[in-house]
Amino acid sequence: MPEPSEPNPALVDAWPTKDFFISMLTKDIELVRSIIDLVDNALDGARRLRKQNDYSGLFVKIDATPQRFTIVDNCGGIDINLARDYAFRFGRSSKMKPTPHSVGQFGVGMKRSLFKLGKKFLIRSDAPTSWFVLKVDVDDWKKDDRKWEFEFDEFAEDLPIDKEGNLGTSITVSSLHAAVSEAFSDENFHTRLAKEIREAHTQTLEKGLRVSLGGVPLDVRPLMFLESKDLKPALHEMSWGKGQSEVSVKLYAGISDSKPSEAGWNVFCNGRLVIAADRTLVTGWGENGGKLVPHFHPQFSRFRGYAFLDSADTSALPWNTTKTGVDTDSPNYKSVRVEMIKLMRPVIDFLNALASEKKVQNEDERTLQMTIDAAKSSDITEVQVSHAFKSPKVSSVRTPAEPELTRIAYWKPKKQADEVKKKLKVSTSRQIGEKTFEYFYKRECEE
Amino acid sequence: MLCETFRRLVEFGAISSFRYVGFGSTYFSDFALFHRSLGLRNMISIEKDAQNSSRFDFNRPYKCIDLKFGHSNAVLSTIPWNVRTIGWFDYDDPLDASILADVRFLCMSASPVSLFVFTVNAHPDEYDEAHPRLTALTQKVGEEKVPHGVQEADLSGWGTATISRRIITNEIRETLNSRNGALPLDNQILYKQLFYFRYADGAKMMTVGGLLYERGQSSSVAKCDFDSLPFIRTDVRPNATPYTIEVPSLTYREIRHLDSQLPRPKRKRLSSPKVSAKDLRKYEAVYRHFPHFVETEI
Repeated sequence: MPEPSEPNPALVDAWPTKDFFISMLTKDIELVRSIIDLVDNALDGARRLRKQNDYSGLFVKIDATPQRFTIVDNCGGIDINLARDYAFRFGRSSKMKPTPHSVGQFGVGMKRSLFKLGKKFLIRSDAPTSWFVLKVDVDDWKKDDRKWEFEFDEFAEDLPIDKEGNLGTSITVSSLHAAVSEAFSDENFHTRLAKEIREAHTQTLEKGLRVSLGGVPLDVRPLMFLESKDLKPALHEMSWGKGQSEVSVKLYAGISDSKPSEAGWNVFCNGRLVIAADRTLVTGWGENGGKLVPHFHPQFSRFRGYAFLDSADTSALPWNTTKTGVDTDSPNYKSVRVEMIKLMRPVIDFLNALASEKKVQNEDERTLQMTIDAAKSSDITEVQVSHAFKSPKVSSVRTPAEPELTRIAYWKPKKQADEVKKKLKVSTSRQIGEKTFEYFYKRECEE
Repeated sequence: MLCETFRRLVEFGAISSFRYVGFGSTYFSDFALFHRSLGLRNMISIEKDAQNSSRFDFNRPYKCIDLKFGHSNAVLSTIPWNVRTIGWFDYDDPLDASILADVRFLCMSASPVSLFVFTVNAHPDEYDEAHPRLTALTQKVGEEKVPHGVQEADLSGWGTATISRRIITNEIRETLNSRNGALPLDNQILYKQLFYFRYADGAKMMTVGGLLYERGQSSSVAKCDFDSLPFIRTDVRPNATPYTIEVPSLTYREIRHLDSQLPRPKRKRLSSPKVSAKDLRKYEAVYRHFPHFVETEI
């Protein structure tokens, strides 16, 4: 950025201070998310390296101690040109050639993560024809608000092509911020980090990428649906756009184990989970004041919905910059949401019927529960699907008629209530209310 | 009038290929009419009173009517929507969130071309200073559905009908807008309002509805020439004028006498002894749609 050579009295200084910039940049991202962003970067390397989507042999090792944070991968390294023009630049240059189906898009991920973590970072990257080492001391860098460049400490380029020898990137962040250091000393933080990385990259882990945290590998938790002759999840496919910017969408809705924490919709953009187990209006829950789709309730704990949005052009996907949500104003997402609502409604009806079936006294008549008991759990990649959720006909379920209810509550002197209890031979105040009401109704209202 | 409009859908293929969905109740009068005069055979009646299912079954006038028991909010999603459908949802109740949920679901799911008509009770609540009509409306439909700027005074007289129609129209538009987000231009679903009726038989009732079609079908829609029907109202603006159905009070003898003079040649006056000019005018407007028989107790 060139400085004006002579002071012009009409000019107003609007240069950003680096302090302001860093604080804006890091303010809206959670620590866990910023680490997942670094995993995203490694993954984009894997995508460049293995076009076939088979990541076996590739790894990402993460270590987070109160002293330092390291992330090491063998996913192909960052090319020196990419580093020069993009990886360390703030914001994505429009000239930058995109990685098809990547998750990095906005040109903020890596820098934001590094600033979020600490004050000193060291990056070494070995790419097929180049390598570099970059050390940054943020406090030093911040001193001059007019100089925004970073400088490689060592580098080499135009080397003979090294296919897959020891290619990869290692990042070390030290002088961690106090809050970060404190979080890294907390075991629960590690547990949460492991869970979120596992969830965010379920699809990538399934394709063979090994991710470890503190030396412990993260296992794959496959996405499962209950399936049988009478029970099949729905699959709806749609797409829009053409060529590079075509977005293809696969929506699955069905039932699985009853787990309140996992129930809801999961939205993946290019394999990266951006919304986990969502039960809000964002994914259609409570639509039309709960009349079209009810608000979430524990009786829907078996509901699972998965939305996979994929595009070669990352910017065509409706996600936000922190990759923690979708852009609900995007016309495309609105369209997807309409289909999600249509898919989930029959699942909800089934789960409602299942809940009311529990009131049937005779267990042999609980046909829906028997269907569930007889179903097997299948991986989403192998499950047999139907264009709409398939279940035993809900209307064939005979549930006892239930008149509309209203609640009556009132206060009365305790001494009198105790006398009534004795007379009625009951033990709770609720029973007093019910019995006295029935007594009155029988004598005064019944025809 | 609905029947005459539905006939125009012939531009899109045989009318009998359409499915009819409605609330038949125990009378099934709409079902009988559409089966007899349009030849519709694929018919679904939604009935919320599941307790008396055998009674509804007994009253079913034709075998081709499929009865589905349950609340419309739940039943609509259980029937397939890849069929072109004519639907008349005649709610006895005032507009509420559950009716809007049906409107939304239908607009999300309907296959083009489909035609939906909604009738709601639009009689203003009893005047009661302590319980403003606006508060009641807000509770029924939800705060986010009451158009910005609507005031208490807007809900008196036929005002509740005007606002109910506005809310339904907004729901249709918003839903189609969402549905269209990812669709190519030609496949986007458009709404053409055809009906906006006011009718009072004791309670004030409002009917609104129209056609859902793909932009690519616009020329066929034009060929239907709906606008040539005198009762069609396509203006969707909030303050548009409805078609008011007025029923004259006439005896059968008077009706036969008037029918013999209709259609009336220009400059010729309609006459019947002692019938008011107002009733004559009302009858002339609706005579072709006026019921010619009545069920009577002996």
